[in-house]
Amino acid sequence: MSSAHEEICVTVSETVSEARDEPVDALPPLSDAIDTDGLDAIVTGDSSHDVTVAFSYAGMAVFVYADSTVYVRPERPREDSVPGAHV
Amino acid sequence: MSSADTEPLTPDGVFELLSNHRRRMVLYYLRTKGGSVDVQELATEIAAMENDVSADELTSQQRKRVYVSLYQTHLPKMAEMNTIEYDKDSGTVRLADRADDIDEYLTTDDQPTYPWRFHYFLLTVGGATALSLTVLSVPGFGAVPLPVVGAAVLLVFTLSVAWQYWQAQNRTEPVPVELRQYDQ
Repeated sequence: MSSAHEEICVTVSETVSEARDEPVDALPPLSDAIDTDGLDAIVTGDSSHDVTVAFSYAGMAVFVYADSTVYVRPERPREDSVPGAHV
Repeated sequence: MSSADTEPLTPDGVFELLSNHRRRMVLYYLRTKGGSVDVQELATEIAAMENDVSADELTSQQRKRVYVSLYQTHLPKMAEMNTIEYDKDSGTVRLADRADDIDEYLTTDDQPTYPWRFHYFLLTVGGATALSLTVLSVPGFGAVPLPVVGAAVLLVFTLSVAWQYWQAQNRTEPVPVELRQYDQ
């Protein structure tokens, strides 16, 4: 599509929404969890930059790699089954 | 925090805001449309501009990506800087008063137009000179009656105003330079 790296925030939101099985609209703003302009700037899609960004968002631990790979896992093992858990 | 809300945006804040093309588009669309705009509508319009297709030719994926980026990142950020009023419950946004602070950093659309100030300055000087010379009956000017000179001066001013008005009414607004990358 347009500029691929611009979309990293969208990829993060969609990945977390899928992992939590909640619509994107139900998630808190990603910009509350991380400086999204900063994330855009770091994730260049160039895999020769060995950079990983890790942060927590909506009860998930999020890992973003420089090549735009996004990996998420629940932050705490199991407990937060409360819908819309706040971080 | 409340005192910061009433202070003008800092230059750093303005440029941070303007550093993203989607935020520029949000400002542009809200300014052009005026009033409250539905976030879904905003996302659709921006996706259409970015992809250079009409709104009904957009794929749901194209529209959704813009929606998510507005909803998750740009609108909260703009609301936090008090440049837009973002009503999450009704899903609408509108420009806040503070958005006016941004205007002075952007190009105005009346750039290389006719220098009207200079035009009126010359007219005033010329008209005053003609009237004075007539009143003083300087040789060569006494021949024309004063009311005729007065009427002629008035007529020139009237025509100038009419011309300027016509020009302002018929100006086609170009796509602002800050959005030009999407102009075809």
